[in-house]
Amino acid sequence: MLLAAALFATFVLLDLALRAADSRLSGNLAHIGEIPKLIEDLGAKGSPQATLLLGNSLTNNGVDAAALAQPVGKVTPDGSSFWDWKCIVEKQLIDHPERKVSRVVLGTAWHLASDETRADPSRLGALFCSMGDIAHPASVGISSPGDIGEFIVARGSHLYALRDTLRNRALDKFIPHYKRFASEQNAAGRTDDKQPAEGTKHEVPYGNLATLARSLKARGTSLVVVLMPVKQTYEADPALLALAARGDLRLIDYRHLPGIEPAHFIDEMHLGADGRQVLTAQLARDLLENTPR
Amino acid sequence: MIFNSFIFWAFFAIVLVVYWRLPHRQQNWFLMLASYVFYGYWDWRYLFLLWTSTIVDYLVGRGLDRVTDPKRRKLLITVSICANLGFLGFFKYCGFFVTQFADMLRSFGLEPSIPVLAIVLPVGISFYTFQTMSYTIDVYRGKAPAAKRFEDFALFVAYFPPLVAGPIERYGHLAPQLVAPRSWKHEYFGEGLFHILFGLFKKVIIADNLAPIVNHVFSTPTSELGAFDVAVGTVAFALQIYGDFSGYSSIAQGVSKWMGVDLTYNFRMPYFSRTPSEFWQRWHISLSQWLRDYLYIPLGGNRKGPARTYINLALTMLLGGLWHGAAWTFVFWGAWQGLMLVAYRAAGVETPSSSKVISVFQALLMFALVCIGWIFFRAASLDQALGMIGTLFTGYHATEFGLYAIGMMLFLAAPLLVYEWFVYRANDMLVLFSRPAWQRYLVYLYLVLMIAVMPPLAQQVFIYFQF
Repeated sequence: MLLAAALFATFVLLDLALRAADSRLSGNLAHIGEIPKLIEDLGAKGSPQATLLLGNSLTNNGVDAAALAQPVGKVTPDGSSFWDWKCIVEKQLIDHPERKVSRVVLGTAWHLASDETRADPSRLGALFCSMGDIAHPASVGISSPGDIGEFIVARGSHLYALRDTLRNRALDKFIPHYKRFASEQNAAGRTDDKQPAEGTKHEVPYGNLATLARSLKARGTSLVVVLMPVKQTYEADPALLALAARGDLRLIDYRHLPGIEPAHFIDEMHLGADGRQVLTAQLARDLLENTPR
Repeated sequence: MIFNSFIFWAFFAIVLVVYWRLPHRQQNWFLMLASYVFYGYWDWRYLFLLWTSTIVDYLVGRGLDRVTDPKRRKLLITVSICANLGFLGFFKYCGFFVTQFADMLRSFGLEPSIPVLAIVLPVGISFYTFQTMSYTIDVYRGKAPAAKRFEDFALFVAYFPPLVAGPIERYGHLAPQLVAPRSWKHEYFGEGLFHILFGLFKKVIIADNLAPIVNHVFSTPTSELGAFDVAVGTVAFALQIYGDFSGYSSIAQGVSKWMGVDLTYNFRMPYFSRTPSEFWQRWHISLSQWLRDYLYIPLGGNRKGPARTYINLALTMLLGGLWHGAAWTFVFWGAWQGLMLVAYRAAGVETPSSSKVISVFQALLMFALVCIGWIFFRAASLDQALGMIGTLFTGYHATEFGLYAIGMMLFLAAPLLVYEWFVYRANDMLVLFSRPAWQRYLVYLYLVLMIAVMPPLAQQVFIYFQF
């Protein structure tokens, strides 16, 4: 029993140490750590054009926030998707009416903004949501008891929640060619998440996105969804188009943006500097069209 | 419900809290209910199979207790064996034999129209049917008393820690512990915790992390693989299956220990074995003992001369291979094991050497031979297995993938093998408990941190669930 107590105490100490220093583990964690301050600062400016640019690495690589010529808070954690974005918006914006943001621009692709996007319970539990969210697990895209357990444990332990980062850093030091083969494994695993595949007309629900749009509208913030380009294009979901047609949100479709060529991509999905310039310029023009003045 | 899932630990926490607050008889009723929930969580319909097996073998046991007429006793034991093997045969082998029969007819130029049933294999059926069969056979032989109370026997069959992947417990070992009153002892906690952490480490850290390496090698066409990658993939599978299966057994032991019930050790450092017979005294011990007691010895064992002994060994291992699955790869794996046992016995080298240097050489040779067997076990077809074995004898050139895989194996599994070496030298499975507190603390801390930080991206089910 004494041994178990000593183990527990050591674990807690290590966990606290990690919480204090987790932003040093990776650039992404450092970015996640600065999100509350970033949105707070954006909201405090009170500009009628204040824009929260939300998304993942597609948006991070695809949009140059500094070139948008309006106050922009760019929140683009790697690997994030709808449930992460929903928690960020709810916790950092909707729960803080004093933060004045005129527009949330959400960069997405495939079905990443739909209800069917797979939630990452560890990331949600540790980084984006609050413990209270688990009272309604479906509201953060969690359904199985295993995912609920993972959410709770991740909420309690950063050692567990950040295991992928810790593991990758440790193994990259000791294992030859680790990065290459781990990336290949990750890519193989990720292909299951990306659907609908090209050419399919699979319709997925967007109830939570619609609710989020309504919540934002109620506080005077509009929601703009941008369909980001990727090398091998994808079908826009009819349900998402219907949502836009109803006026719940504004949809900007950049899947076939003139001026973006295959050579502009640095891999299968991320834009390089030239592509970013083209897309940012177009986004600036499109946002200007209905910018509050 | 699998041991490496949150739902199991939530379930077990509830079971544990309620269990230790109940008086003995109610403890057993509660354990039985919990065991059915645990099993029914996969597919409640297969509970009927478990119940049928329980009822048939309980009634046969009661009948054997009352009946003295040898013919009627033989009839009773035949009923039990036919019922259990009937279930096993239908659910596990029906599709295989139907397919083989259709293939045979086609080879004669016929075009058979045989309906193929898509039968889902009930989880753990191979384990609990062997466990209940051992009970009726032991009662028939007069080696175990017949269960008096139905609930005691039902709990013996359904007791959840070893239910789906063993160890295959004997009635004489498990039932007396379940029948006797149990009270909490402090030493249960430490020992149980060690087994659970050690088991999770073997399963989640070693087996699951090596799974992608093994899958990569065994899903690549053999013609695209070099000897180095095949060798590395095979060793990775040897470590994966050991971590997976012995990990399950360790967790089952720990979980059971926290309920005051000891399970038998199913593995004792098998990769330090120097001969095939020693390997089978260290690998899946409960199955090899089952096969020895209920198949090899009844066939005549080694009592009827060398030739008959060789046949008995080969036949036992062949059926042992088939027990693992309905596929020719498993049959060949069993045949390979039988061949090794026969060859070592025929060559007169079945006793490990007393020389340390020769022992090391014997252990390395044995590991290499076991690994060749694992290729049959893991391959999708005989063609693939034979192709991979053939590739092993071609030129060796280091590849980036091979170096990555070796790095992973050393990082993940080397600490396990070092620890097992100390256990092997001390010949004490709980040697850690005789070490100073700071050493135990460091081992536990290492296990906890590895389990928290190093699990793989994707959760894997236990390999032996399919058997």
